[in-house]
Amino acid sequence: MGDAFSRRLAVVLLASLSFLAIPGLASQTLLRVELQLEPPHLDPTLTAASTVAEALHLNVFQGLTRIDRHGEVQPALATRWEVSEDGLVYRFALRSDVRFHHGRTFDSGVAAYSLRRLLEVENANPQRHLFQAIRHVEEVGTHELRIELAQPDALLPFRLALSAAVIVHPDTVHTNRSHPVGTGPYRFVDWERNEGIRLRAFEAYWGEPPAIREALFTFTPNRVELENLLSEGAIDLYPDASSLTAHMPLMQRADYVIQDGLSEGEVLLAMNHGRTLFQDLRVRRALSHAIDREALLTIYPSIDPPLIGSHFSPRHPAYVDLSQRYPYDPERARKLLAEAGFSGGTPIALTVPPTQYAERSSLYIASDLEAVGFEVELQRVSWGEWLRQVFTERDYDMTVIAHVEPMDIDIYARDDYYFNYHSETFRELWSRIEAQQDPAERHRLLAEAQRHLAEEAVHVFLFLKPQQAIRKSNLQGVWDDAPIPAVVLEELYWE
Amino acid sequence: MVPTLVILATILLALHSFGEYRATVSQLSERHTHALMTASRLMQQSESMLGSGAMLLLADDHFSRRQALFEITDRREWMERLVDELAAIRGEAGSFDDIERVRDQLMESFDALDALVQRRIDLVGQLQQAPDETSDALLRETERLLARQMRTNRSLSQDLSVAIGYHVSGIRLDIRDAAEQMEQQLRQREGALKGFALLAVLLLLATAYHINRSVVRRVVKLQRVISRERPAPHELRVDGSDEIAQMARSIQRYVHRINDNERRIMTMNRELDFLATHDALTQLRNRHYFERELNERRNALAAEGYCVAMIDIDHFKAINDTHGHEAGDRVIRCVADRLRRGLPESALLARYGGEEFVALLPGFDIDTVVPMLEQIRQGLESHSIELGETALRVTASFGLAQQLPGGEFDEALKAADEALYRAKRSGRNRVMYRWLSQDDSGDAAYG
Repeated sequence: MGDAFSRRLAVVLLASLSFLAIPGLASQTLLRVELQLEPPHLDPTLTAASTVAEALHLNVFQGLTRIDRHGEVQPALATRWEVSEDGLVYRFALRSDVRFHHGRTFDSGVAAYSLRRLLEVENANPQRHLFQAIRHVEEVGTHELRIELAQPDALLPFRLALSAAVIVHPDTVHTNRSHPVGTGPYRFVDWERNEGIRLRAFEAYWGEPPAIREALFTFTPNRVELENLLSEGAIDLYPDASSLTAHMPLMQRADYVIQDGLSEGEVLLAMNHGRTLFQDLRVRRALSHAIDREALLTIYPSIDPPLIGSHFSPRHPAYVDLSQRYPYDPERARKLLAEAGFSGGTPIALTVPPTQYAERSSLYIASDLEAVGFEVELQRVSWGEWLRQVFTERDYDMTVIAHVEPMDIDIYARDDYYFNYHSETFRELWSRIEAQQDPAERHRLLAEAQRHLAEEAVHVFLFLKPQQAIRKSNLQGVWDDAPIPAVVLEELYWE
Repeated sequence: MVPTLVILATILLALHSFGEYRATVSQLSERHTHALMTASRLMQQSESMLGSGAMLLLADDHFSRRQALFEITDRREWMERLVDELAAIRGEAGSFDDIERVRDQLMESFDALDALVQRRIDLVGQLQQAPDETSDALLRETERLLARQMRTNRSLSQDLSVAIGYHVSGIRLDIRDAAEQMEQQLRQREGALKGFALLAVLLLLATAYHINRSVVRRVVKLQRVISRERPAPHELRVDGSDEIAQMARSIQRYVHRINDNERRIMTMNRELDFLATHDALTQLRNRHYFERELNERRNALAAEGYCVAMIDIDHFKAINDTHGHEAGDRVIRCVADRLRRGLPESALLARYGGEEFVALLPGFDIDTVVPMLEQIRQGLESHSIELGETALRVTASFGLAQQLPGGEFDEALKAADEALYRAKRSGRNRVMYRWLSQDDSGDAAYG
């Protein structure tokens, strides 16, 4: 009765005590990440909305390769790859210890299915055009994949690391929109509108078990609410704190840290080339002169992001600085507009998505446009409305938007893109770029492409979007820059 | 078993109570914190609306106006959701019509304010470019309307705060009620838990007492009895039919067996001892014993004085030869018997040889002993021994001596033997003794 029983009793009591202690512990393990834009659905292979990738890419879904925090390509579901001398055949060796969240195994069959699905036109993958070089995908045994290209593509491993090329299982392709199933370190738990997306660490994950066991991605488009939640300390990580009006007071707080960083996002004052007004090069150039981009940067109180003059990241080796191609000159703008036959009072609608940078920029842009004679109507829309009205239906005059996918200058070669920009010259230029294997020559052509877009003043190219993440001071592992849109939970931990 | 169950039940009750407590606390904290946070956010937003209104009022260009308007729109949008949330939390607890009505009026008021500010900015712009009286009057009128609109705004904001305050107060009451309810439940549970704990303690004590009575005390008693040098089996009796009683019975059986064995060994020892000191035929002491005894009593005998007699059956060889050994044995037994009966208790009588006996009579002198021996001799002579059909007349010769002055016992014995020899030589069936003369120097005078 004596010792053994007391020991057992002690164990029971201790167990119950630790059981009681769990809630305190749980609050520290649940990480709340704020992403602002509510995703339209949860399948990154079916939408261009980067918020889906931010929440799910590298957390729920993984590709054959991945991009790390420095923008370098790393192995993911493929452990290594080889390319043939002529650059036309890639062989990927696949991991053999990977399981999907619904229990099925990953093998070359699943990988091949996933890539073939990406290439099918009817599946409307938003980045399908990036993979047009692929001619044939073939399984070699159970854990090797052979990809045959029509022309060499040195960027294929990079492209396969993008969110639209994640590996999905045939069982779940029809349900991934509402219940995503991947191979990543986190499995999807639930998604309730106004509540957020809940992810929990996947027990059978092939890699190291992550330190953060549970995460909640919330979407708060309303700036007042967002800043309020931050000031209440309810948010652990918000990757895009750059343009918050409460930016400075938040910087002073001991419980928060604001990290400086840049994304790959070119912020554009995009115009709908389908509108007659913007088909006139003089009007487009007038707009480029009308916007005081330096003044616009005041929306960022603690960082000075680089201005851009074309759709290209200053961090890319082929970058050409065209930021001063159209200096701020309202007088010249008015003159150009007059030349094009427009006098004061031309109505123009600026569609503003619910992002901080867009909302705050739009105020300056509206004033600048009004200063050269436009009558501006600011239309604030929800993210869903923006995706539908602007991105899908292309029913807009102008909009402020950041294109965060890396190396996406090719969108100007796409006929089906929401810009309605059709340029034979650019399309021809892009196919030369794609076919070019020599890096130096390729860079020269990329420079030419940048110049072409600048000369054409396709949009008003504003600046490279800063990525100042605000995080709880004891949350470590947050990426400084955002080479791809992703919040990689696996690399985060509480200190 | 029962105490274990009660302890387990107590622990389970405690755990269950903790679980409920935790659930209630977390529900209280989650639900009420959420409600309170929602209400206070709503309150804060309704108050901040005044500030945003001021920003709008102060806007002197469209940039500032839009900025203020953005903020107002954001606040309105959030307030709408906050009211919905509060309504969902409070459920039936109150009407939200007031809040919604005032909020809508406030928003209309802001729209009106925005229109006035927009007109003012445009009028100021016009006046700066080309002053004219109509515009100037219009501007003054706009300013007046703006002031009025601001007052309306302010009063609506206050109304909204009051309407929200009503719910804040309701939430506070809810929290108090929930806390009181929880406290009451906790008190009840605490009472039950205390009762269980007390019961468990009592049961433990009862168990301890029972174990002490039924196990410890019995085992201790058993151990005490066993540790004695010579435990008595009846003391090893333990009532009941449990293992201890069974063990006690086993021990009892062993003790019985040990005691029996010991008794048997003692008897055997006694028999061996008897055999070592007695003559098997006559049951008299044997010569070995006699000599050992003499040796031990030498000093006492010297001090006390003694007589020693040697007795020999007459013609014993002939009896043996004629009637056989059995008859001889019978004769020896009869003579021994006569001697035993005829000599005093204190005499040490032993069979000394085949048909020879010796008797030591401490404290006796010859005068006392001679008549005894004479009586024995006569007794033998006058009684025949029945040997089947024949009756045998048996006689014996007696040699007697007493302590010799300064002499050792051996000398007295030798003197007795000599006296016996003389009795034999003198015709047997007689008592011969050696008188102790005045100057006894070893040459004896015999009677």
